Formats: sequence, C-alpha cells, structure tokens
Amino acid sequence: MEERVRSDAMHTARLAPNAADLTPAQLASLRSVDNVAALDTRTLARTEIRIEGRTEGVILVGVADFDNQTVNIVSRTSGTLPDGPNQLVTDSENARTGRFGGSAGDAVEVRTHTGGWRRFTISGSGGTVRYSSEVAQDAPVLYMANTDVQSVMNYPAPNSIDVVAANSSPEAVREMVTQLRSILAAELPNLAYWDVLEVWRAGTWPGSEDFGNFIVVFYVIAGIGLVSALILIFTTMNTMVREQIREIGMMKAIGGAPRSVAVGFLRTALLLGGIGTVAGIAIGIPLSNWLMAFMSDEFGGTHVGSRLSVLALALSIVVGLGGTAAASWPALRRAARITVREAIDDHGVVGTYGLRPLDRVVARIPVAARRSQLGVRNATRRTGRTIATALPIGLAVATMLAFGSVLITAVNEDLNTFDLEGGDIILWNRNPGLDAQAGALIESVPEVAFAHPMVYSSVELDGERYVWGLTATSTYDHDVIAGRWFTQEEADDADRVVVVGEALASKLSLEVGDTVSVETRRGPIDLDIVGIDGQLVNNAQGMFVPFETVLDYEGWTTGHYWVRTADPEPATVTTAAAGIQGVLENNGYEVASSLRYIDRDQNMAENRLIVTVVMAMGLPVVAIGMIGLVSAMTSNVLDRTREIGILRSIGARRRDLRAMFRAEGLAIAILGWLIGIPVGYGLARFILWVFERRFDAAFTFRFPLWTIAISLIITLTATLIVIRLPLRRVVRMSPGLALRYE
Amino acid sequence: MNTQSLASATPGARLLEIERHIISGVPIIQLREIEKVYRSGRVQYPALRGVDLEVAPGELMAIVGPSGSGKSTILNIITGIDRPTAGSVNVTGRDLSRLDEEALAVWRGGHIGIVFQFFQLLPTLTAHENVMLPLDFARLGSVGERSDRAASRLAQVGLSGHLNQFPAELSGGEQQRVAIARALACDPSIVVADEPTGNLDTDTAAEMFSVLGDVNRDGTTVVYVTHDPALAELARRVVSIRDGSVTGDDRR
Ligand SMILES: Nc1ncnc2c1ncn2[C@@H]1O[C@H](COP(=O)(O)OP(=O)(O)OP(=O)(O)O)[C@@H](O)[C@H]1O
Ligand SMILES: [Mg+2]
Repeated sequence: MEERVRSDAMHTARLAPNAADLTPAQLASLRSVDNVAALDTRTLARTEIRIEGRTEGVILVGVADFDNQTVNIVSRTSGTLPDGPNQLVTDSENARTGRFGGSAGDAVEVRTHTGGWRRFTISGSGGTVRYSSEVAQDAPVLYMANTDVQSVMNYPAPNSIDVVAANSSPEAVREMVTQLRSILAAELPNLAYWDVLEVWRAGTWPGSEDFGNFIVVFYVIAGIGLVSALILIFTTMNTMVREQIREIGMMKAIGGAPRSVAVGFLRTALLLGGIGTVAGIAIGIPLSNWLMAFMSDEFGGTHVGSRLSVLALALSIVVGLGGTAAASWPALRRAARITVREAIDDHGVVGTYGLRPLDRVVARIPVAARRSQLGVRNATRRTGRTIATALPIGLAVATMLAFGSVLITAVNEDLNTFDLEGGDIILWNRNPGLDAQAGALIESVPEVAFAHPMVYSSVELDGERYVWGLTATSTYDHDVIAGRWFTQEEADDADRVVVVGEALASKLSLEVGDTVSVETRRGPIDLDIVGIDGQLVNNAQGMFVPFETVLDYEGWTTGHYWVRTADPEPATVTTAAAGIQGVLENNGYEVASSLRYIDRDQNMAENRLIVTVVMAMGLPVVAIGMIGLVSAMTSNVLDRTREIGILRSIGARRRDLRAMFRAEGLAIAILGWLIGIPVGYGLARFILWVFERRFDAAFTFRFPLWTIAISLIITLTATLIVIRLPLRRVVRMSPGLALRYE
Repeated sequence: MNTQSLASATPGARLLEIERHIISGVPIIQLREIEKVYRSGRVQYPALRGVDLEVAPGELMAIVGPSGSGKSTILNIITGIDRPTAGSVNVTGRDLSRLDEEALAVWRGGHIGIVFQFFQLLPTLTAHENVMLPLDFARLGSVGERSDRAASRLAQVGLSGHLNQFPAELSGGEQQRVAIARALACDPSIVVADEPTGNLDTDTAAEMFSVLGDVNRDGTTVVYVTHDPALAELARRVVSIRDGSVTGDDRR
C-alpha cells in the first residue's frame, strides 16, 4: 500500500484556497519552495449526477493536465484518460461499491451551477489513493479536467493545492506550508481558505488506521496458528519417539550414543519442518496476494497487488525450521535419555490404570453405555497426549469464539451507528436552502415518517474534523454519560455549547465545564462543553452543537435534512426519495439526496467480507486442531491394537468399537472445547482492547452464550467427521493380527 | 432389538443343545484337512499342514507341542479369530467360513469363551465391569441382570471381594481368574484357553485348573494349550502337535 502511496504521489499536504488563479510563473515560485517535491493545483467540487432517474451527490476531482500529473496521479485501469473536454474517468471504486455503475462509453449527466445538466462521456475507469478513498466513505468520485470542473461549477480557478513534500517530518511540512502560504498571501491578497489544511504523516494513507487494526488481528490469528502447529509438532515427535522406543533401546544396546539417537530424530523433525515450510510458502504466497488485494480494497479504497517480501520469506523459513526444532526438543531429550532397560520393559500400553486419583474420579463419571464409558476412560489413559491434543482444539475453539464475539460486537456497533444517525435519506442543502417550508413539503410525502434539519460542518480540533449540528428535537438518540444534552433555549439563542463524544473527551482529557477552542473555516471559536455522549457516531469522536449555532458561526441560513421513512426497505426509501425530489423541484428547490441504505449495505458487505477473511484465517487453526486429533486418535488406536483384538474376541461388533473410539474422541474434543471457552473470552477481550486503543472508541463487549453452544456443535461435528479416519482403521483390523500385534 | 433374553442362554437350554450333539453324535468342534499358511512378504510359512480334529461336547482336551508347532493357530481357527487357508471348520454346528467378521464376533460372544495367556483384561475397567463386558456386547438381559450375573461369575472363581478393583490392583492369579469369569460370562458352550497358566506360579496354576475343571464338570467343552506335562495330565484327552500336524491323540 505504501508502494501505491508513492507511485500515486499522494499529497503530504493539501491547502484549500477558495480560488487560486495562479500564473505559470507563480506556480513555478511555489514549486521552488524548499522541500516541495511536487505541486499541482486542482479543482474539487460537489455536485450531483443522475443515477437511474434519481439525483445523487458526487465528488468532482479536477486534474490540471492528464498527460502530465505529478501529485495524486490518476492512473487508468480500463479505457483511456480524457483527451478533450466533456470526458471523465469514473473511479474504479464507484462500481465496486455499487454507488455508480457507469463504464467506458456511457454518458453521465452532471448538474451545473445553473441547475441544468451537462452531458459527459466516460472515457475509462481508474483512480488515485487519496480520492478513491472518498468513494467508500462518502460519494462516487469522477475525475475530469480542472477546466471542466470550473466551467460546470462556475468556479474562477482551482481550489486545492496538493503538495508532496520531500521531507515529510511534521516540522519540515509545517515550515513548507508557512512558506507556501506567505507566497500565496503576497501574490493573491484576497485569498481565503474554504477548508482546513490536510496533512498526511509518512506511512499513513486514507484507511491506514483500519488497516493497522486488521493487521493486529492477523498477527493474533497467525500467532495462535503457530502455537497450534508447534504443539502438533511436539506431539508428533513425542509419538514418534514413543513408537520407536524399542528400536531406540536396541540401538543403544548395540552401542548407539544418546547424541546420535537424538540427532537422528532431529533430522527427521527438520525434514518434516522443511516440507511443511515449503508447503506453507507455496500456499502463503497466493494467500497473501489475495489478502493484500482484499484489504487494500476494503481499507485503502484502491486495489494493489502485493510483492513478495524477502524478509517475510526469510522469517517463515526461520520459524518453520527453528520452531520445529524447538517444539521437538522435549521429544529429542526423551529419546536421548531412554535406557535399554526401559525400552525392553515397554509394552506400549499403560498398565497402571486405576492407581491414579484421576482414574477414580473418571470412573465415577456416570456414562450410560459401557462402550462410551470405555471411551471416556481411555481418553484419560495418556493424560499428556490427551492434553496436547485438546490444547490445539481449545485454541481453535477460542479463535472461533473470539472472532464471533468481536464480529458481533463490531457489527452491533455498526448497526447502532446507522440507526443512531436517524436517517434513511439525507437531503443536501442547495439553492435556495432547505428552509422550514421545504421541511413541511418533505413531510408531506406519504412514505416519509418525519424530517429534521441537520448540518454537517468541518472544524479542526486536534486532528478531528467533524461537527454535527442538530436541532434540539433531533432524532439522534444520544446517550449522555456526563453533563447533559443542550437545551431548547441554548439552541434558540445559538449558544456556543457542545456535547463531545466519549473517545474524543478521553483522548483530549476534556471534561464537562471545560471550554474548547476549535478552528472553523472562518476562524477559531470557543465552545463550552455541557455534556459527553457515549454513542459511537464518528467512533465516539463527534462533536454535537445546536443546529442554530452552526448556522450562526458558519454564516449559513439553512441546513440539510435527515428523513426517516415509514420503513427502511430499499423500495420504500427509493420511492420516498423520488417523491421528495418531485415535490421539492415543483416548488423551486434544487435538491440532491443520499440514500443511507447504500452506505448501510456497503458496510454490511464489508463486514461480510471481513467475516470471510477471518474465517479463512481461522480455518488453518481449526485444521491444525483437527489434524492433531486425527493423529492422536490414530496413535491411540495403534497403541490399543491388542485390546481391539481382545474386544473382538469377546463379541464386540464394529459399531461397539466405533462407539468406543468415538466417545474417546468426543471426550478429548469436549475437553478442548472447555479449554477454549475461557481462552476465547480472554482473546476476544484482548482484540477489542486493541481495537479500542486504536479506534479511540469504547465498544460494548459481547460474548453471547449461543456462540458457545454453536462452537460446541461445530467442535463435535468436526470431530465426528475427522474421527472417521482412525475409526476405519479400527474396524478393519482382523482380530487374529490384532492379537499378535506387539 | 438385539437384546436376547437371558432365558434362552440359561445352562438348561445349553444342556439341551449339548445333549442334542451327544445324542446325534455330532462333534461340537470339527476341523477337516485344515491348512494354514502365513505369508509375510515373499516368505510363506505353513503353520498347519492338514489337521483333522473332532471334539465331542463336554470334553476336556489339552493340546501340547513344542513352541511354534501351531497350537495357538489351531485355537485361533476354532474361535474364528484366524481363518484357515484350506479345509473346513465347523463349530457349534456352524460352518465358520460362512460367517463374516461381524457375524463371527457376535457368534463368539454367544458361544465361545476365550482365556488369553497374558490375562488381557481391559485395564480401564474394574473386575466387575470386565466380566460384564461380553454381556454388554451381546446385549443380554437388563443392566441389572448383567451386573448380577457378572457378580455371580466372579463369586464362582472366588473373587467376590474384588469387584471394584482395577486389573492393576490385582495379582496375576486374580487377574487370570477374572479372565476366566469373563470367558464364562455368556455361558459359552466352549471355553478355549491358550496357556492360561503360563504366567502363573505352580500353586496358582493348579488352582486355576480346578476352576476350569469345575466349568467342564458343568458340561462346558474346554480346550486348552499348555507346555506343562503335569497340567496336560489333568485332561481326559491330550492332542500332540508337531510341525503343524497332529502326531498323537490320547484318550483316557
Ligand atoms: N502372523 C504370523 N505371520 C507369520 N508367521 C506366523 C504368524 N503367526 C504365527 N506364525 C508362525 O506360525 C507358527 C505357528 O505359530 P503358533 O503361534 O501357532 O505356535 P505355538 O505352537 O502356539 O507356539 P508357542 O508355544 O510358542 O506359543 C510359528 O512358527 C509362528 O512363527
Ligand atoms: Mg502359542
């Protein structure tokens, strides 16, 4: 992704002048400022396009010269870049997110400043990191020549100066911006800024924070997978040494040194580890490619391929071989220490059952059928093996439970967030503004339940950039955890009061009664904190100010509208939006709408994809647990070959034997499941803790009981499936051979 | 569904079966021209080379012979644990070649009691549970009935005081007695024992034989293998095996 940030030449800083009408000489003087590596001007605008007869907001991103881009380079994924006026490039994300499906050759109607429509042709699709990320967050993005944006919007000049700094340290960037501003101030005395300065630190990009959070989860799963795999190696090597105990004894009897015996086993272990590593790398490369592509889509809003990292490759070889050697260490030591006497006395099966206190306890477990009783007791004969088998199963269960919990928590917050915002349709303020009469018109549409004015403004407070202006009677379902919500009087008087989100408050140590100074585009203003809100809107970093207050300090007279429809079904919402559009346009209002269900579906789709990825990542952990179970059960079957012969001799049928070993496998699996519950709980808490710290948000932890029940069902089902392999071995044994087996 | 009533397997019912054999003169075990060749890789080893053997119901028979002569192989063929390479096996009126593994297991459970050389009790089951096991497999009677029957079998071998001990807590002689009780659990028509006293001291071995003798007196056919000439003497019929063939058959 950082590669992509570099190749797209994503800006380090963006200044937002209202109109920067710069001559080539002036541009050259800006470019000559120390530390400026590249600098382009562009025109950004919000307008609307027609999508299936409806008007939808869209972001226009101007490009100074498609053939000679130096900052936020728009690259092409299909079709061509525009080579004349009235052509545009649709961001590849538009189609992927379902916001706008147009493709090369299609015509697009773009709303102009007069309220009319201008027809553009799509020349191709493409994008650039910084602006592509707006699609998932906000609205479809279209790229066209700066001059086209300006003529559509009737803007006199570009309104964005995108700069790549050579040195991106905060001091160097601040110094650079100061110099740029002073040149601009000297050249264009009337210049004002329409938006605050945007700075991207090195190593960050739109979505990098989410990406980082996800990476942590990956590390956790990979760690669990690794631990499971090491336990598996540990058991396998132990079993191997156990099975060859007689051979080891013989080797020593004829003069084999303990060292050479251990080295022989080490060689076997490393061979297996080597094969595993090679197989792992072979599977890992396409998997990581897929993951990278998926994650960059989800979090970066752009698609990148991954390159093979030599470091990762080297690391996997070190872990593959080193981990194998470390995990087989106990078995090697045992192999070195086995005495000839011990080897000769070995009879494979523990003959001391009944002497340990555990056996007495287990003997009291009430199991109805004899064969199940045998199975459960057998599971406790090789305590070490049973625990080593149950542990990876436990880790697998823990992984399932933890991800279940995290996903349920996250999805829940997500749904809450959407419900909290209280709107199915957002109507954007245009010209003339959406006044109270417009509100009444909106509410006259049959599908509309109610409509509230709302305004969304951008201020700067320690890097956070959003303020919600809400009416005192808004549908926003606040959850004040300290202080209070603002009152009707404060709203009426446009008092400078604010309710801040919980995470923002804790991040900046804000308390009720404090005054904060926020940077608006018209200068700094002070706001008195009257309350703290516990809801998760804007990751609990939102600021809520009375609607009238925002209008007052922004110098606006009207705001947008939140519309709640009678039901949230897409069909109803679409009908309502068309109805509102019609009634407002008939009364001379310009209007654009956003349908919230598109965002909601977008979010749900992302969540579903995340679930898929998590499942794909968790699968190896589950697989290792199950492989461990198969191998342990196979060892158990081999160990008890003689016993199986005896059972057959005294009348045991195939199904009796199957039932017995099945009970044993299930007993081990249930033990693993029991281990998995507390581990999974801890793991879920840990992952959420990581998320909370990274998101600066407070989640409501969820660990529903039904997931525990489901994990049991999954564990038992998986066990019954994998155990068929060793079971087949049992029933195929001929009693004659089984009895002679030694 | 598979639960057979205990009544049909009571000693009385079995006596009738045995008498039918005696009256009809049909042997309870009948081996004809049995050959058994063990193959391991390319090597073929003929363990039995044409064995003919008939055992009448209620007989007490010993099989003797040097190590490797094929004694255990004969027992395994009688019990259906091994299948002959050639020849026919008829035991308790059944042609064993017509039974598959599953049917053989069920048949053994109902008709044959086996006592192994190294006791071979299930280490995770108590003495009482070990004896109940064949009854569980045969699904004979209710759980209560099985428990009572197992307890009475243990009493029969003089082990009423050790019901709830695990094999590891019993002496070798006690373990072998549990093994005999287990072999008798389902009231088999035939008890087969492969060196049942091989691991026991002389006194314990003698005790063991008195138990087997009692079983035989109740009408059960007993076939055992031994190395010990003194123990062979206790049988009314001694069959000698050498190199896979019957070389002697003495009746007293
Ligand atoms: N599974 C087998 N594969 C190959 N050869 C076998 C197998 N089982 C037995 N044999 C051989 O068959 C011959 C007869 O074996 P068997 O066990 O019947 O002898 P035995 O008379 O019982 O001897 P012992 O008194 O030592 O128990 C022996 O030579 C033995 O090596
Ligand atoms: Mg033998």
